[in-house]
Amino acid sequence: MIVKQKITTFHQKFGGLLRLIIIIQLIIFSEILFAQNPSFSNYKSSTSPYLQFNDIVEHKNKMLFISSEGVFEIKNNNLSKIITEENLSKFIKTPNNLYVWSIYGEIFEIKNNQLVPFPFNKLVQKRVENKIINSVIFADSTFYISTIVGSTLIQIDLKTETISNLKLNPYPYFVVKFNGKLISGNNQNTSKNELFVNTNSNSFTIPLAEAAGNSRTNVVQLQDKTYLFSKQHEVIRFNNTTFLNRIFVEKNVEFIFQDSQGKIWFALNSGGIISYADGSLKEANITRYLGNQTVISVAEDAKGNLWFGTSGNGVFKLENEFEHIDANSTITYSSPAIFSSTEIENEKVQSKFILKNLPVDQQTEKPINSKTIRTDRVRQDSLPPSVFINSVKINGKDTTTLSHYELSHENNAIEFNISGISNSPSGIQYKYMLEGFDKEWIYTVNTSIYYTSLAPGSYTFKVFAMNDSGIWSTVPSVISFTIQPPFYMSAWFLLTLVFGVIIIGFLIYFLIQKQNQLKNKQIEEQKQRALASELQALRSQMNPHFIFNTLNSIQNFISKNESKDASIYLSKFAKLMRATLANTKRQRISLKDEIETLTLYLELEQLRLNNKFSYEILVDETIDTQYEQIPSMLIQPYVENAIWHGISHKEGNGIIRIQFLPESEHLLKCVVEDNGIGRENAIKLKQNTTSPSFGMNITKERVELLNSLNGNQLSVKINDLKINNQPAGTRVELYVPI
Amino acid sequence: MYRAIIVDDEKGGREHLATILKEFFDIEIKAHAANAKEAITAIEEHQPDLLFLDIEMPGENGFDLLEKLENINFDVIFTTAYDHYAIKAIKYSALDYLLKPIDADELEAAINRFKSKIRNQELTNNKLKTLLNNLSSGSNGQEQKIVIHDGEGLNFIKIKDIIRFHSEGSYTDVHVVGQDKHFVTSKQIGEYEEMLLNEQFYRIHRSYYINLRHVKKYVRGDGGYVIMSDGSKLEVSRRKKAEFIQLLSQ
Repeated sequence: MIVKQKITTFHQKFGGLLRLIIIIQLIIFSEILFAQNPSFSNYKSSTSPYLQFNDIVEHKNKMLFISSEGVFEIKNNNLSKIITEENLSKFIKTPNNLYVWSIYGEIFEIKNNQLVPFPFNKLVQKRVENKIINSVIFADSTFYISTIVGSTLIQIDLKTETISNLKLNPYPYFVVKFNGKLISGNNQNTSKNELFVNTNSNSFTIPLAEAAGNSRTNVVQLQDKTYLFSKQHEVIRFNNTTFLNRIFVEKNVEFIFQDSQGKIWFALNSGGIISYADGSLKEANITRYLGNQTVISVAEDAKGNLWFGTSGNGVFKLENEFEHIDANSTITYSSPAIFSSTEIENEKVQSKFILKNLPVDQQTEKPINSKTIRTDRVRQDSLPPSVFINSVKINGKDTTTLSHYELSHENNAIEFNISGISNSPSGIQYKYMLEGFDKEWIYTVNTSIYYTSLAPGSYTFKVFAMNDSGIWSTVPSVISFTIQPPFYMSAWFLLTLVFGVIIIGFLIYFLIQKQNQLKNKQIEEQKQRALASELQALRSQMNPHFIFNTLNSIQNFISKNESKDASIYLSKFAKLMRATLANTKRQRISLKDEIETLTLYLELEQLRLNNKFSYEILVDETIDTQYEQIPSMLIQPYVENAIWHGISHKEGNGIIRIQFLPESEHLLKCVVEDNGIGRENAIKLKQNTTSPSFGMNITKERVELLNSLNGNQLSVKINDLKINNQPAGTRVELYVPI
Repeated sequence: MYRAIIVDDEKGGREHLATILKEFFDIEIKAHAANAKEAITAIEEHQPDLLFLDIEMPGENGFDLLEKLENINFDVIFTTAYDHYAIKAIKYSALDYLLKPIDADELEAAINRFKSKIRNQELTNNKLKTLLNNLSSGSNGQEQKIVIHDGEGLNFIKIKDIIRFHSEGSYTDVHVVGQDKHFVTSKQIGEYEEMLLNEQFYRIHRSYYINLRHVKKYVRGDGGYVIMSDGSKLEVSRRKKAEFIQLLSQ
């Protein structure tokens, strides 16, 4: 319910293009609402599901339906055809018979599911002169047949069985039974756009808000003896003496129907049906059904169920929730479907509607002219009203009312409060248009007009007021405003933005790159420092080990009183110590320095072991020993190992051979080879001795560290040399990156 | 007969040196001095040709002694146990030194160098002056001077003015700022590399040892090349590239 009310309110505030949105919304809502109303049953023809149902009637406790294919009834919850006849328009129910008429003026009686042609058919057709039938009315045993063009009303009196022509001037657009009488309605060729009501007691005009458009015209008398007139979106309620009130609905009204409960039903073109609780047409009582369908016919059966015939979607039945009271009290007429599809040109120029008594003279056939329009109208207000824009709210805030506003893009919700001043106490109507937004004038009685989410651009709001005599204000009230596009939509900004984004992107990219470099560098430096200090520590660990081993040897000489040897030994030891200390400070030393150090070391060991071994250091002639650098103190431990574990236990003389060979451009191959007892024997011996192989352990760690520093490049390969399957020494190959 | 004086605060050191000097018959030890004061007296008294001078002494050290002397009419051979910094300065000045404990073979070599030298007191004084200057200029290596010995004599060159060393077989060309020609020395490029270690020099190539301060531009490539302040374009060995770039970016 709430949703429906909102929609109506919404519409009245907006209008214009927003109708489109409403339609879309209604399409969506319709599905929901239909689902929420299980009391609606839908019936379709299984063979032709898209038929249009022009009329519905209850006859002999059966519902009958007229479609373009013929007459249908409900069987097994389906619409099934009982009579095939095209061009049938509407039913006419008399107390005893059921008739149906065609658009060509033929009248048939329905008997036993068959069409029995009316005896006067040929005579009628002759008089109709191939004109399209507008409507057929049955009252007081008389058929009144009106055509769309021409002023002739054909009268068929069943009692006297006579046919006569009534000439009407102006010719009737429609003829309805009205308050026990027949009334014809017409559009008169006048610049005035009004409804002229002429009853016996008085006559008056009601101004119409909308210019005449292509729409049906409906007049209905309600149970409370008031009348409803509808044309396009406009519904006017009046009684015998005066205009009462007026509403607008969002779609053209197809027909008006009041059910036995007193509810008013409007069928809207492509808008389903809306229902007002009563004739006062209070907005709070609106209910909406059937979404965006076009309902073109309606009937209430004896049980109070409502039947709606649609254009293309079968028939809907709305179960009556209340006890049936009086089915016959409803009097409903609506103009036939063909009305609105003809005379469009006339509709556009003819804008005056006259609703008056039809001067039917049943005794004579002479033409009866319409009565002269009486001029003693009540409250004719010939003074044009004035219209004002009282206030303008922008984004809900009151503003000082100006004739022009310059607004920033976010100030795009604008509410106009309008008022009109006229001599007549009631019935000020407005039409307004927001140029730049609305495509046409919007008619309303509302004084608040609200626009939201307006796009940047220039707009002019114009509003006219109309008094209840249909006089429009001569000058509109106008306010113009311009909504500036947001700065981010201007071309220069977008261009700058694009370049900015690119530049910022690059900057960020470079910054990140730089930061990463810096970070990596820092990490790398830290790593280097950490590892370097570790290496330093390892080297200083190694040095004492070597020192004490060597000092042990010197002590040997001194204790043996070999002073000359001791002196030479000591001198060499001092040199080696100096070199070692110098090398310790450096991570890499030249190959030349390494060879010098190794030579010193080997000489010392030679002396100590009493020339138990000989050595040779071979350097490939392509190697520039001055230029090439290797990690300091790398080879010495392997040489030491060869002497202590290989040669020292060997019987007879040993040979240490150290070779430096180019392995590749980046790799130097260092070979330390001995012909000692081999590793297997050394391990066996080691179990019986306490001498540690401290240097080797450290060297292994060093290799790992160096590799983690420089990448996995340095590698060590140890081969056990064998002659005749007997251990014949060890060969260590170091692959050193240079 | 050369007159020599031994200056050393340690008695053992003086006696050991005197013992092995006995082998050289043309060198006469005129006096032993245990400190600078004694040494000055001895020098004035004996007018030596050669001074064995220990650097590390309590009170005034060897260099202080040299500074105190107004006239130096003798050659100096420094003796030191271990002083990296001082040895570097001595090396820059192309003066001789012996490391303790003194090796007989090294002593002989030093004596032979002393003997073979044409006695040029001005040159010696210049060397000593350079040495003292280098020592006083502190740890800023680039401010120090290095003696470059070419065919024509000794050249005292500020390290920061050296652009590059260029190895040419067993010779080394030394390119210096503001000189049209370069010096050709018989020293190997590696000796300079060793000497100028940690002085912002880098061996970018087997043949080039360059002063990093004089690098104008590095052009990337396989190994890339550098353009030096004298406009020379030197190839960087591929293996040295990474380390070199790292050095440059520091």
